[in-house]
Amino acid sequence: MKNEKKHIIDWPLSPAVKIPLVYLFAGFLWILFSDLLLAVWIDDADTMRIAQTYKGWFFILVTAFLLFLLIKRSFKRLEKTRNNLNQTLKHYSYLFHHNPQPMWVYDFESLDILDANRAAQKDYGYHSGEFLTMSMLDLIPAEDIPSFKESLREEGLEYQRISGIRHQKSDGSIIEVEMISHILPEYQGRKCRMVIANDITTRKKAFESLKKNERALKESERQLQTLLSNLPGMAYRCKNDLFWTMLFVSKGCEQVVGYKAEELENSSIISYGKIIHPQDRKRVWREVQNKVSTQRKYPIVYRIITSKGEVRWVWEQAQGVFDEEGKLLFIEGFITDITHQRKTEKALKHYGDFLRTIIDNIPFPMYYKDIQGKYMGCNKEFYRYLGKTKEEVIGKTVDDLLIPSQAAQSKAKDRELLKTKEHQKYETRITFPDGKSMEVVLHKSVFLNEEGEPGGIIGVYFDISDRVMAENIIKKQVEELERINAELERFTYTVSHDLRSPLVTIKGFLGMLREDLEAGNFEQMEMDMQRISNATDKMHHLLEDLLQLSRIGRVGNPFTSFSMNGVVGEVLEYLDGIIRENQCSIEVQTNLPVVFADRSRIMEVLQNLIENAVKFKADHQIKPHITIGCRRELDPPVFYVQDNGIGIAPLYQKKIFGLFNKLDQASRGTGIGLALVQRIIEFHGGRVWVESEGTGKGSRFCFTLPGSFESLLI
Amino acid sequence: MNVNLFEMILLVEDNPDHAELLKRSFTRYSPDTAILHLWDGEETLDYLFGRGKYALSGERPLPDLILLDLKLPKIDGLQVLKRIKAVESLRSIPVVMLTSSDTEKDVLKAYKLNVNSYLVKPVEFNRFLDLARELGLYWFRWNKRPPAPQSFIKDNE
Repeated sequence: MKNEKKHIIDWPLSPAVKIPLVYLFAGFLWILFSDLLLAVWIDDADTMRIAQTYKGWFFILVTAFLLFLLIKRSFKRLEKTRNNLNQTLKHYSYLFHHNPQPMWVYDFESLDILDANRAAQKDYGYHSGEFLTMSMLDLIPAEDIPSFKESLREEGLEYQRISGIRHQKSDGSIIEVEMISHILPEYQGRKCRMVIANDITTRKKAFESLKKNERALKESERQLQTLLSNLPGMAYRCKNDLFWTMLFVSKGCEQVVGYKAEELENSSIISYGKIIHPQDRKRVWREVQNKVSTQRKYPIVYRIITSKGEVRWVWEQAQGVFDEEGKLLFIEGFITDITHQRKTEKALKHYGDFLRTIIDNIPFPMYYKDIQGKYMGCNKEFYRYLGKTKEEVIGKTVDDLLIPSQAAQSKAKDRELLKTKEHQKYETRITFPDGKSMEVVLHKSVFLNEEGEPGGIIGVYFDISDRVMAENIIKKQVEELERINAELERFTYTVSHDLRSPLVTIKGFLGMLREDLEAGNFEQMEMDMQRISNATDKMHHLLEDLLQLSRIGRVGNPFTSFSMNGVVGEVLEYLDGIIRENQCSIEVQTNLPVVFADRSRIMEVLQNLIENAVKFKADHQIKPHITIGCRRELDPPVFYVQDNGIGIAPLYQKKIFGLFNKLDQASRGTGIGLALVQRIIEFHGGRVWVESEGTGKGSRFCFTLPGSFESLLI
Repeated sequence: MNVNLFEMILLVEDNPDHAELLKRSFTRYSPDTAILHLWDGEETLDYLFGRGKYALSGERPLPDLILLDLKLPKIDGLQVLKRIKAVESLRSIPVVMLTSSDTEKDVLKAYKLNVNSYLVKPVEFNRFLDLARELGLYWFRWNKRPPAPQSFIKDNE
C-alpha cells in the first residue's frame, strides 16, 4: 500500500523529464550535425546565412512534430492511468463502505468522525449524515470517556488492537467491541485513524456462559463430595456377593461402621458382610436377593457391629445397577444409622402404651371421634358400658349405637360443640337399640389437630343412673310425705270437727236432761238420753275407725302374690248373710290377675266396696246386681266393682272418699269406708275412683294395683 | 228478755242433735222466732234459688239470718256461702257460720268469702245457751238490719 502510494504520487514527473530530455538531445544532435554539414557544403557567408535560416526553420518544424508525438503519447498514457486509478478508487471505496465490519475514520486531534461505512451506521443505529457530524466521544459511554482519553496518548501507535471497549449505540444500549485501528497519515489533509470495530458482546456472553457452566459443574461436583462426606450415613457401590465387597464407599462410612472408606473398599481390611450382625446376615442376603431382582429401590433394616463392637440398627435403601442385557453389575445404595430413631420409636411406643393403659383404666367410659362423628377410639370401660366389641364401635357413628331420637340429639350437640369449640356438659338418657338405657352426664370437648383445626371430639360419660334413681326415690318419698302430711291435716281437721260434734251433742243434751229433770219432763228425758247414748256410740265408732285407719301403713302384713279370684271368693263368703238378705245377684269374672299386695288389706277394700254396692240400693223394688271384674286392656289393669244402685252425681264423686264424709246423713256408718279404701289403695301405690252417670244410674268403683300380673292360669 | 223482732232464721245443719239443741235454745229466748231447718247445702241452695223441689213452691220468705254449718253433705257450707254472696239479692242477708270446726284455715276461708260472723259451737251446755241468747240479742236487737228484702225473688244467679 505504501509503495503503491509512492508510485501514484511519482508517476506524472516521468514524461515531464523525458520530453525535455528528448528535445534537448535531438536539438543538440541537430545543431551539431547540421552545422558540420553546412560547413562542408557551403562556404560563402551569405549562402551560409540563408542556409542557417532555413535550417533553423526546419529544426523548429521537426522538433514541433516530435513534441506533438511525445505529448500525445504521454497524454494517452496519462488518461489510461487515470482510468485505472478511478477504477481502483471505486473498488476501495466499495470495500470500505460495504465491508460487513463497522469501520470509520476519525480525526486524530479533533476526534470528529470523518467517514463511516454502512455496517457502522447500521450497527450503531445512525444514518450516514448523522455519523459524519459526530465525534468519537459520542460513541463512548460517559463513564468510559476518561479511560478513552487516557488511551489516546498511545494513539501514536501505527496499529492498535484493543479488546473490551464499550461503545454506545444510538438507542443507548451498550455493546462490547474489539477495536482495530491504524493511522492514516493523510486523509483530507488531516491526521486520522481508521477504526474497525468488532462487536464481541455475543461472543463474550457465550464465553462467559461456558465459563459459568464449567464453574457450576465444578461446584456441583464439590457439593456432591461435601454431601457424601457430610451425609449421616454412607453411600456405597458393592458387588452382589456374600461379602458385599465394596467397590466404592463414601467418607460417611466411618461414622456408621467405624471403619475408614479405604479399609472397607475391596474388603481390604474387612468385608461389609462381616460387619452385618451374624443373626441378620442370612436374612439380609435373602431379602436383597429377592428385592434386587425387581430392579426397583428397596429398603432394608438390620443390625451391624461397628469397629468398636457396638450393635447398631441401620436402615438401607439400595437398588441394583444392571447392564443393557439385564445382568446385575453391582448394587448401589445408602446406609444410615437409625439406632437413635429405633430408641425414640420404642420410647414413643412405650409412652403410647402407657397412655393407653391409663385411659383404659379410667373407670369412666371415654371415646374420641373425628369431625364426621366416627368413633376413632375409646377405652375399655366404654366397650364394657356399651356391651360392644371394638369392631362394633370403631369407625361407627352414634347412629349405629343409639336409638334414632337420641342419635339425632347427640349429633345436634356435636355440631353445636364444633361451632363453639367450648367444653360441653349435659345430662341425658341414653337408650341402646336393645332397650337398655341409663342416665348419664356427658362431658365433651373439641381436640385440635396439628394445623390447629378441630380434629374431633373427646367425650366422657358419667353414669348417674344411681343418682337419678336415688333422686326418684327421694322425689317419691317427698310426694309420699306430702301426701301423708295432707292426710294428717285432713285427719286433724276431721278429728277436730267430727269428734267435737258428738261432744257438743252429749254436753248439750246432758244440760237439757238436767232441765228436763227439774221440770219433771220424763218423756223428754227419755228422748234426750237416747240422743246422748247414740252420740257416745257414734264417738266410739269414730274412734274405732280412726284407729283402724291409722293402722294402715303402720301395721301391715308382708306382701304376697295371690289370685284376686281367691280373695273375692273369701269376701263373698264373709258377706254371705247380707247378700242373701238383700237378694243380691253377684257375677265374678274368671281369671282375674294375680296381684302382689297385702292380702288382708285388699280383702278389706273388696269387703267395703261390695258392702256399699249391696247397701246403696236404688229402689227397694230392684234387686241389687253386682259385677266384679278387671279391665285388662288398660295398663295397669283396672279392677272394678259395679252395681245398679243409687249412683253418685259427678259433683260428689270426689267428696265421697273424704274421711267421715257421708252423702246421706241418715245412712248407717261413720263415713269411713271409702276413706279406708282410698288409703289402702294409695298405700299400695294404686289409684281409686268412682264412675257413675248420676243419681239412680248405678256406680262403678275402680282401683288399680301396680303389682298386678297376668293370671297364672293363662 | 224476749226478743222477737225478727221473723225467720234459716238453720242449715246436718246433725239432727245439734239442730234440736239450737232450736230449743233459740225458742227459749225468742219464742216467736221462726226457724227453718235444712239438712244440707244442696237443699239450701235449692230453697234460696227456687230450684229442685222448691221450684214450684211459689213465694218463699227470705231469711233474716242464715246459720250455716261448715261440714255438710253434698255441697259444703263454704260453697253455699260463696253462692249466696255472689248474688245481689241475697248478699245483704247476714250469714253466720256456726260450726264445730275452729281451724284457722276454715275461719280465714269463710271471711274471705265475706261471711258476716264465725262462731264455734261451744261444748259446754251453759255457754251453748249463752251463745243462742246473745246471737239473738246481737243480730236482732243491737244490729241494724238492712231494709227487709222483698219476698223471695226468683233469681237464676
